[in-house]
Amino acid sequence: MSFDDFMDSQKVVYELKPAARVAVPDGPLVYYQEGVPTESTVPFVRLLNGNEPRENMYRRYELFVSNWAKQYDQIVQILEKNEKNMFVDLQRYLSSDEDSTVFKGQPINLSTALLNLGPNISNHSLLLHNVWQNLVDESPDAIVVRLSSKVCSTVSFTMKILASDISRGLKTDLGRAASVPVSDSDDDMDSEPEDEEGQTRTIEMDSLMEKVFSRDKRLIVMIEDADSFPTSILTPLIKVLWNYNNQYRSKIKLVIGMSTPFEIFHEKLPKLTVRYMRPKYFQIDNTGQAVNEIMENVLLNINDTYDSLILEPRLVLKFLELKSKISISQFVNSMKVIYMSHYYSQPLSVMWTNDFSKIQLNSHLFDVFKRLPSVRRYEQSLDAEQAASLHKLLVSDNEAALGELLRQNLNKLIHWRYKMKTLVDLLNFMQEYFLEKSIWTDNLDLFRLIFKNVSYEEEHSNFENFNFLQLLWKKIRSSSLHDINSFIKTVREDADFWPLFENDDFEELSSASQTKRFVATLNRALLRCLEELNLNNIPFREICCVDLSALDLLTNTFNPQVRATCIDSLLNSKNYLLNTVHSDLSQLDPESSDMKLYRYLEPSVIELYKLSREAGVIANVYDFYQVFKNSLPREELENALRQKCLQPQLPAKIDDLTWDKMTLSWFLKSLAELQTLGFVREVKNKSETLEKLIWKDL
Amino acid sequence: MDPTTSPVDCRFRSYQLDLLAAYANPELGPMAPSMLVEGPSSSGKTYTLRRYFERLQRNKQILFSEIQCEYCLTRKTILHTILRNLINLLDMNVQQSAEMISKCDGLGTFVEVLKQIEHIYTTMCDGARHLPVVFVLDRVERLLPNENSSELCTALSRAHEQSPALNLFTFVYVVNRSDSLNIQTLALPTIAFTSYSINQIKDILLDRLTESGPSSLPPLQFRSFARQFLDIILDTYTSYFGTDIGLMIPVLAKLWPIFINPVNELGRIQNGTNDVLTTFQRNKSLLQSELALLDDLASADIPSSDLPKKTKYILIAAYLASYDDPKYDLILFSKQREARSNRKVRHSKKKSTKSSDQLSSRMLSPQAFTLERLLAILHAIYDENCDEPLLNDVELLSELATLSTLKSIMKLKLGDTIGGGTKWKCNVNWSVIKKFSDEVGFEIENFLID
Repeated sequence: MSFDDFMDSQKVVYELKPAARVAVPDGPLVYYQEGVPTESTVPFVRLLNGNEPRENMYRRYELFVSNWAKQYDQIVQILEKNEKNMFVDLQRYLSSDEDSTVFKGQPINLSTALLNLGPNISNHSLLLHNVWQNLVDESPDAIVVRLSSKVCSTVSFTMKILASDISRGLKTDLGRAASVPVSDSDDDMDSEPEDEEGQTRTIEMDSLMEKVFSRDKRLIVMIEDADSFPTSILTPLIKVLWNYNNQYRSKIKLVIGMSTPFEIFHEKLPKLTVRYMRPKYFQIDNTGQAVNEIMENVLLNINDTYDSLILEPRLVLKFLELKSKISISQFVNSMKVIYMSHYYSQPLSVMWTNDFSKIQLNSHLFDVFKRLPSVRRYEQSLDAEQAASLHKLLVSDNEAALGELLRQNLNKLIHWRYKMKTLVDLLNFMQEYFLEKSIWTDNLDLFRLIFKNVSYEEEHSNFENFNFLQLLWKKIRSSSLHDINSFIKTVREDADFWPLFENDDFEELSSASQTKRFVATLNRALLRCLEELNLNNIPFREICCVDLSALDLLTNTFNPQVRATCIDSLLNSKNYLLNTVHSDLSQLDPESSDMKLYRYLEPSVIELYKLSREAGVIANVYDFYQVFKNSLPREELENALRQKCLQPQLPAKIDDLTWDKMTLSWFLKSLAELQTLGFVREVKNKSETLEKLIWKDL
Repeated sequence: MDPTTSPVDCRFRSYQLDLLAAYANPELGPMAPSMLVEGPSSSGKTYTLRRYFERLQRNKQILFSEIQCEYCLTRKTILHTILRNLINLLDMNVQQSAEMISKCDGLGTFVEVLKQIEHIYTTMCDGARHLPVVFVLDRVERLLPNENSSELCTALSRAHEQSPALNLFTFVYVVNRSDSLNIQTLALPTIAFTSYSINQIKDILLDRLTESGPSSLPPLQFRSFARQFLDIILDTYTSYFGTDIGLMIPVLAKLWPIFINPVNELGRIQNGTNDVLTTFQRNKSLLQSELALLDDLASADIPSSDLPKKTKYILIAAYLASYDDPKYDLILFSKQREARSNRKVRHSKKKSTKSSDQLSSRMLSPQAFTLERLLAILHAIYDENCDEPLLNDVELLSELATLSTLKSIMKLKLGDTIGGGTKWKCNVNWSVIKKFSDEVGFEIENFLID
């Protein structure tokens, strides 16, 4: 199944119902062009018009499941590692008791941790949950209460929630204590009235607080989305907490999650409320870093080549741009969709493995080889003679030679990541060796510098790509001969770096005047390396590479443009009604009644929409109907309808009244549909009039 | 016993103590059933009352309980607290006390429960009455806005009329202004407190400061050092503080380390190096700024978390929609530049003659706008300033929804949600919007009419 067809299958499909008198033939209603489903439980289909070996289909599924699981594991590991360190500061702050007072009886302000959750709003609830989980796990001597604006609609309700959460916290704490065999008699004494209280449901804040602090507990109140809380709730809440905090010598801590940037947030709390707090600011957001690490892993992890697909540098750059917008879970979903669609739709994806024994090859697969765009591109890049021989090889059924070609290029792909890593390592080494001040700070930074300006279409225009190294070149030119020579020596001895320069004149320099040439040599080697890294030049890259088209897939999967799709479907109904996904176009009979009818009258809502595009902003309903009625080709329609419908349903001669009734019913139905779609609406205070909703593109 | 000679340690408040002793002295027969104590904040009302009643309690003459009404929030909580404190004070070991308290669900049932408690007590003690009970309701007017505190006070003041059993209770209302409670007509005894003078405040603070001050200095020297410190700081900021000790204490606490630390380091006071005046001179710039006065959420510069570009544009568009009159939309956002520039000239001429005294719209509250207008403006400014076109997709709308839950853009509660035409408002102020537009390189001034 090609990508476009996959896209088509994501769209809403209208089907023309077969005529009533025609018996519906048995068999599949949906026509599959490329993939044919099987009876098995595997959700994949047999590609190549069903000619793909069944084993390969299973194998693809198997590979998808196992490789994605491995990738997901790695992502989870990175996230966990990041999270561990995130909360240390916060935890320390919350467990500390600093209350230095200058004046006797001076009120103690409420220790407040302000959590900055980062720019990525979609990630906040996840982060807050992690914070909460961490607080609960790491502070056994504290009762943690979460308040969310979604349930706290009034002050009294908020207090109620606070109280019931505290009493629940006390109870679970009691349960924990009870599970310990040694229990004080005091505890038992305490437990009884508590249970009673749970039953009578009158929860007194004062007595609760007393109970909490008599057990030497701390209370951590977490206001999750302080932005959404009305000030009229926040202020009394903070005041009350402050009061208890003073009564019980700073045993209460407040944690506030800020979802908006600080500039916006600090206007939301009145200054008088701020006076009650001793705020401290925490940065709780590691999404950016986590995404960076995952991307670095995707790019430069050379350990398990076969488990992960190669993402094209441009795609990685796009992902890095997106990271401030999408949440971690969305990011993971995107990766998963990329993997899924690759293994689902690419028959050659089975080749990306070190175990060829399970793969069945047949002639259809070999056909695919020949038709791959990357192979064709490769053929174009060769000179005439080589191209001819390659062409001959492709048309001949010389499986051994074809296999050899495949193996060669697969090797290139396998080594791609290794090469990328070598390039990055070399540049890192050069920066470290020659420069005190660094141009880039980490690998991804460097990666961005290298690839942001690369042109993939005109490769010869890339010669200035490494201009960002100017500072480095300058420094090399001015450094001593000894330094340069020892650098060259190190590179020559390094098994990884040396292959990059093998073809160059890369000898130790004898005089300082040669440094200029040396720099040129370095630049040339880097450019050559870049060229080798250009995935577009490697035939068979479709086997394991994901290119930019994946972005379209992601956009359409996660952020469909509802309005645009809607208008498009109204304007080009053919794309939907006569679609290869569900009907075999070659078998459509242009003379059949359905097709004839379609030619004269598309579904009436479409006709009406087309008319409404021509109309002014305000239109009278009756005028609209008249135009609609007169725009229909009556005679042809009558004939087509007569053919299509059973004789008794339609009189031989349709008189004007019947025709009016028919068109009116079509009109009203379509108008209702247009209203639901949001294209027109009735004008208020003015009956029988329609108003177009015409903000452009909205 | 004459309270003025008694050791009630309340400086500068002997007049009020005299009054108090006249109204509430168990030795002179029954106490007033309710009292009003009024005065500006931080004039020592609560402190004086507490000292006076605590002494009476120590002398086993009354029972006393103070209730911080401001933190009870609702009338019901206050009533419950009164009942619970009463049970505790009377030391009654009643079963189901919680149940009894829960029977009181408002003013209507409060008196009944009170009577019941009284009844149980008398039967327990074979008819003996308990000591008079004083409840101080501190800051009773600071309940939630919808809780009617004057009703509460009226009802409590008349509680003693309902049953002779209740004549042992005294309620003292501590308020800033008695007229806020609307109970002056009840002719309650009122004790008025006046503000302390600035010198009295200095004396009071000095005591507090020296009592807690751990210092290597001899007490007298330390006292004069602290006095100097108070003099200098309070005189500096006097126009800000007025006579509000509540305002002073945080500021003084913030500044105290700056002055005392050099002394502690040296161990003694040396003129010209670490005495109050020298330190003050040295840190003049610090004191000139608003550092000590500002109650800010974060003292130091914090890394501002960034919003995505698109979100910033949405906020900017919302701001423009809120502060630009819709009639200028065509001029400001039309793609036909000629129309824009031509009309702009004409418009500015007209405007200058007409409305010289009109307020800048930026000073007014934001105008409501329809969602469609916001989207149209967003498209106009986004397409013009960014390379990529704005996709009109699910993400955009969900972003809008998120901003509205964060209250950065507010949806007004009128209009039909399904039929469209909902009204919205921008809830972010100019300085933030200006910062955002600078960050994304958008010249917002060009799009504001005034």
